[in-house]
Amino acid sequence: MKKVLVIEDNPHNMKLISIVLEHNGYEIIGVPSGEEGIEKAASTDLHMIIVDIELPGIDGIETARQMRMIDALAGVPIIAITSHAMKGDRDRILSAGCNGYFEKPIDPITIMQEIEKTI
Amino acid sequence: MIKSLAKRWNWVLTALGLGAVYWVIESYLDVHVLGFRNTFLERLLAPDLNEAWLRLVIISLLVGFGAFMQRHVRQLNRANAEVAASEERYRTLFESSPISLFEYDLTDLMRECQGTQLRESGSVRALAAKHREKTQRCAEHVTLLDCNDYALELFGADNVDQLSSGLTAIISPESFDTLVDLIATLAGGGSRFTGDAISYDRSGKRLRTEINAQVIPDREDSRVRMIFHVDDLTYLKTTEDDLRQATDELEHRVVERTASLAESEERFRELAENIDEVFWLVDAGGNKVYVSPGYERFWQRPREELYSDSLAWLQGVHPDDREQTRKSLDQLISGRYDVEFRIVRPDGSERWVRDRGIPVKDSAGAVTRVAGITEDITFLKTANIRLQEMDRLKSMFIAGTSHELRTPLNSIIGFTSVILEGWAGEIAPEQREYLEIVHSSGKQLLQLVNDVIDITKIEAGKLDVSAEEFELRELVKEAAATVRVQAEHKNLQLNVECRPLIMFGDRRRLLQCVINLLTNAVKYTEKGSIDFISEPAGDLVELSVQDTGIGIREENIPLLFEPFIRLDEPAAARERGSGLGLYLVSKLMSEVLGGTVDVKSTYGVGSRFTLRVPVKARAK
Repeated sequence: MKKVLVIEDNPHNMKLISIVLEHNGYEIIGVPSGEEGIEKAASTDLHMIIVDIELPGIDGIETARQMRMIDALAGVPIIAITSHAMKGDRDRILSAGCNGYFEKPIDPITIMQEIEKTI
Repeated sequence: MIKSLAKRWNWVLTALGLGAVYWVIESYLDVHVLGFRNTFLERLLAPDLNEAWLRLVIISLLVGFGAFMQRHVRQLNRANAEVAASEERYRTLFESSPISLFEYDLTDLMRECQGTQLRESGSVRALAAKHREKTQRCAEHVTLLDCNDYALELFGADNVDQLSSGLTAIISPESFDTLVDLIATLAGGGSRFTGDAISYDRSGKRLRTEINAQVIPDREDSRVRMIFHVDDLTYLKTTEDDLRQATDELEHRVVERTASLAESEERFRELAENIDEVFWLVDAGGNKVYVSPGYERFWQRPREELYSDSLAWLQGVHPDDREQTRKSLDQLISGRYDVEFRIVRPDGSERWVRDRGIPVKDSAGAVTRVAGITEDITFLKTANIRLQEMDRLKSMFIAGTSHELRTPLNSIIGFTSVILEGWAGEIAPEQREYLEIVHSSGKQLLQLVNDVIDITKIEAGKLDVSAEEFELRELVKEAAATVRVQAEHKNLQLNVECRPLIMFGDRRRLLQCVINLLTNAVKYTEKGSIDFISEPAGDLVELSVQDTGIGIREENIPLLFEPFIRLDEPAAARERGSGLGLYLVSKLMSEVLGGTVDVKSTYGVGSRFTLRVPVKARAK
């Protein structure tokens, strides 16, 4: 099973993403903060990382950037989840090393399309 | 004839006369005194010495008497001739004088008046005035003795008889006062009189005259005769009257104007002295001509300083604003002087000021003065600052609230999606139906929240604008994909015709606009088709969405792009949007994409919305 790390502080969103991914045959590793996400990413063999931009502590952008500095994660796609794009969000997301992003609300079909495309 | 003959031959006649007298005397002496018998002739031939002496004496006496008589007669003749000549001259003067002359006998009038004076005590003037009717009647019976040709001509008469009798001919009853003056003058022993009168000529024309009268020196009889000179001053008087009237009128107007000027000045002064705004006047050279007392109250500086140094007020301007204010004074004459600055008052308080100047021009268009007003706008300024702060807080509040609204909405939409996908187990058809309502309502609410956020950002100038190169056809395909399912569901034909075109600009926002128009088209069309057409138009591209929907009434078209305007149409009421869609499109077009949106519609037939967007957006 392909492992996906999901970094999301909102339990409802986490649950929703989990349902969608699990239903499509992925294994979910869920963490609620950027710090824990980086730690997990470094020690796990992952197929993909999904990170929420708005996180307590270090935000999703910073998390993505730090993960991109980890050699082991070089080939792992990172997808950001953003609420309605904020000023400059798009550029910041891509320049932080993310491979793509999708906007809330999370539409199961759209998410899966985006994920399949990225992997 | 006989007279002149007598004159010429008077010597001869005298001699003959004397001879005859001598003859008579001689004859008498001869017969009765001397007792001679001889005749005169005999005695002449044979003279007696005594007789001879006697005769000689008699003859000498006679000759002497004759000479004396002759001389006397000659003198008498000369005097008579002189009187005749003088009278002739006087008559000629009277008759042919180029001024009007009347000769009156005023004896009866004067006698009557003085008689009245004897009966009643009082001055002649007072009595004459008192017995008006009687005086007037007497004046009517005064005898007009004579008048000259000029006088006749003046009164339009051919001869004296045609003139009305009495003094009333020249002094009409209207001028009774003049008549009384005349009587008083004469009664007082005066011989000269001058006065104004109204006279009427034979045709009844009113004349305004000046009367000059002179008493003719008394001759044998003791009658009062007067020569009147009547001067027609009608033209002069009328002109004088007109002149006086004009002068009076002018004077009146000057008085009136002066009064209104004074009133206006008073009003201006009242206003200028009492308003809190400072009113000022400078001449073309920039020197202060007037500054209202408000200056002292507001700036808390003495007005006098401005008259010695017209820029003294600058010292009261906040140091940070002073230089800018000084520079803007260059605009005084051009009329563009309108500045806002702060002042710092001696008590340390700071006020905001708006100072404006309006040039005052003379008839040639040259600026002679600049009138200005300085207002305290502190309240406005602080209110404005507070307003801006409130606006910022409002935007923050809306953005914040919207974000918080979105989180639960995401859950609602996400989880209903998952359930509808069947990933959470089988659901009954009825449950599906209800869940679909929940799902679509959630999306609608989310759309509203997103629109509100966008509009708030646009209005606050904080919308994230990006610019990138993109293929228009791809964008249109993407937009069409979002409405295709819905269109098919309603059995609408969706035709998209878009030629390939590389554009540069904010793709996301353009996509938002196109989706918005397509969504609306699907929403408001029950049957028929929706066409998307793209057409290049110079530097622009026209993107049109044409539908066969309900259309829009002409009077509602201007309301379409207003926020929260829901057209009161039954069909529209069934479909609920955010009410912000088209408002957002127009905002995005004008503020972000640099384009326009417009609509052509026929009610009941369909609408065509067109976006005109620059192919290459100008880099911001």
